Amino acid sequence: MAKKRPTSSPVKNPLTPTVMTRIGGLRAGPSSPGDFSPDADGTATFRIWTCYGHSHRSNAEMGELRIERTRRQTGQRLVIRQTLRNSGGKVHTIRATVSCGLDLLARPVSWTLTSEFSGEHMTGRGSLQVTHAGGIEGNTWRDTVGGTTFERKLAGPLTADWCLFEAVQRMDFRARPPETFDVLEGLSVLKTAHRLDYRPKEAVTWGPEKIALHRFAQTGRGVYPYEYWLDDRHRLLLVTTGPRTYIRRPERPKAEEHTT
Amino acid sequence: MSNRRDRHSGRGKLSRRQVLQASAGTVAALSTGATFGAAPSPARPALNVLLVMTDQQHIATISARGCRHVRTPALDRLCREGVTFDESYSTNPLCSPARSSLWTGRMPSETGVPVNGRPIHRSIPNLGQWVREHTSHETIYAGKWHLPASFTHNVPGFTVLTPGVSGQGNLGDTSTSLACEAYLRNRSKSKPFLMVASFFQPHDICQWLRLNQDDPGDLRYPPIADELPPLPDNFHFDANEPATLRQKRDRNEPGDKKGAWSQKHWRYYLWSYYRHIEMVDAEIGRLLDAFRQSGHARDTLVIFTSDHGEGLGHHQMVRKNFLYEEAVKVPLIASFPGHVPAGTVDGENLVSGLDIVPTVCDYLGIEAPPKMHGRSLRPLLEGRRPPRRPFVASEIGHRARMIRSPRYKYVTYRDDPIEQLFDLRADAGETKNLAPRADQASVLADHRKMLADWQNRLSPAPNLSEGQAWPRT
Repeated sequence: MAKKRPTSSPVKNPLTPTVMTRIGGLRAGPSSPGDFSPDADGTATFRIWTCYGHSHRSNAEMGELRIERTRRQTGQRLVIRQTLRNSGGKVHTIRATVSCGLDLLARPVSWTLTSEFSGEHMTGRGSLQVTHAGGIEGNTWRDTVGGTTFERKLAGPLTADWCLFEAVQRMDFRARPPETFDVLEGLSVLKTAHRLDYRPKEAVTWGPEKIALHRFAQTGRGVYPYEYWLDDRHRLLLVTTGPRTYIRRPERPKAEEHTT
Repeated sequence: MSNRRDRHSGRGKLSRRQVLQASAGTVAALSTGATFGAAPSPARPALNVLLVMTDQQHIATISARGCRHVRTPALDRLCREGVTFDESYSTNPLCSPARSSLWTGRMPSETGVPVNGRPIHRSIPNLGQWVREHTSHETIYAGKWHLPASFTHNVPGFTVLTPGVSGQGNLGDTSTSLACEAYLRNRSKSKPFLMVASFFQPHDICQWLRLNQDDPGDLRYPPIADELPPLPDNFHFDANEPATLRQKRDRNEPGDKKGAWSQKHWRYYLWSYYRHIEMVDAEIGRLLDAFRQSGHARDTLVIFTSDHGEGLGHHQMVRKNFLYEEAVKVPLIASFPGHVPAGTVDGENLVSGLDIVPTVCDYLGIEAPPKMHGRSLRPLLEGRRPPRRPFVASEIGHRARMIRSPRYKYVTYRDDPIEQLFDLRADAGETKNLAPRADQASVLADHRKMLADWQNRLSPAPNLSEGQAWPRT
């Protein structure tokens, strides 16, 4: 006999680990390696899981975000790879290498970013590739594309959304970043007047487990509010932002990483 | 039959290339104050067209047009560079029907798309098919289509760069804008283009509504308390509305049986909608930056619009598919630096989604497809004074029809005896239904006649059954 599909209904509440568990978005418990340190080099990979607003309909994994962090003498380097599953079998990949500071917001200093498409239904126009080289100097954002450099003035402190994924792991659970800051989303579009607030530890249901997580909430222009969910070791396990979530994949054992 | 128009009577029939050059030359002549119809400049490249559209954008959501709850630098710049129409109407406040009109210049009841998820009837060409057939333009599409499939590579007449991410504008619009950016920066420029960038936001407000249906009482993000927009002046609604409207309100999230939303939750919904607008504005900004930086600004007509609006709490409505101004009005901006007067607002002329196809065809120097009901906006864009349009029309499937005349708006429902008549000069918020008033009987009769005449001019799609068509009188 065919397995009965769960009845779908509006979710009615913002996505949290508990709500995601209820609607089938989180099945296994989070992995929390005992040796995790936010200051160590490492790679975090997140499944990009989206919700259409119904409990068991049209919710799907739409891609992946991978952030590899390497500590350097004067800062840190992030190597980023994001894939988005476009309709019709096309895959949109963004690759970026970012040099950023060790400050509270992991401020981006310089970067290269390439966007391209692959998969089915390519149009005979190559991979629709575009590459930007960017950098921040003082209050000026420089963007070089196709051999031409464009400049834009910045108003205040700045970070990038991908940098924040790393930075929140090194924030003290009582610490506050600057009053407001701007965000260079995808290292390419400016979103202004953001702030980040710490929320006290909260009990949640995550798949089969009941755990307590810390949370930072980010609000500002041009985004859904972001909520960063972290364990006691400051390990970022989940980011929820409107109907979109980033669910951290369990890290592979180090030995396995070397052989693949 | 030739679909090319000879603008310069007495000169004989022009080749397509000559027509294109003549069209561009005329635009150039106007900008320099030369005589209308002066000889075209043969060196001028042919005109490009960039159509940018959003999904479910309320007309009053652009900061340059006075909305103080949102920051829209990309749309603000477009306003500064072109003409903004304040009396711009969708032909149907629902995605597929409205889009079928935008791409064909015909009413949804004619295109065979009275509801979502139907294809345009095969006998009617869409803009891409028409332009591809009658010009040498590349026809390029990115983003949502919804005729019938929402996110598809199967868009007749167009080469699709990417459809975006299914059902998630917050992710897919980035793919759409980056694909368009790559096309604009890398193209060979050997051929002119017609490009459509069809963004999905702010449609994700539908997900937001489902994810925030329960009013939690307290604000989830207390720091935004001071930023919550006030409720609209016409938040309240007429208890004697047509039953369709009352039922629609009751079925939507704020009217859920658990109880009505608090004013705070309504205001949080408004705040959230504006964030959706800012998301899509950022992607439009990326697209327009690439467009300008790659040297296309001087030879490209840019048109921005949306398929329909959003309730945004007016009359306590959310979403769309009703004929109050919030759902049926849409932003419309056209920009062509040097050719269209910058920073101009047209607050008088009634314009429609039907007008996009005739306008593009006019600028490209080709005849519009047959049986158009729209008008080219070119005379208005270039500061001429064509005769005022007596009304524009909108419809909802076979259930409702609307006539908007310069002063009044008339709405009637097929299975509801209650008609609506609003004096929009005196009552822009549509709070006082004048239809039952004896002293408005002649106005009501005039609008009924306008609607009947309009309906008789339409050619209903052959695939609509009698039950799906509006009765003729």
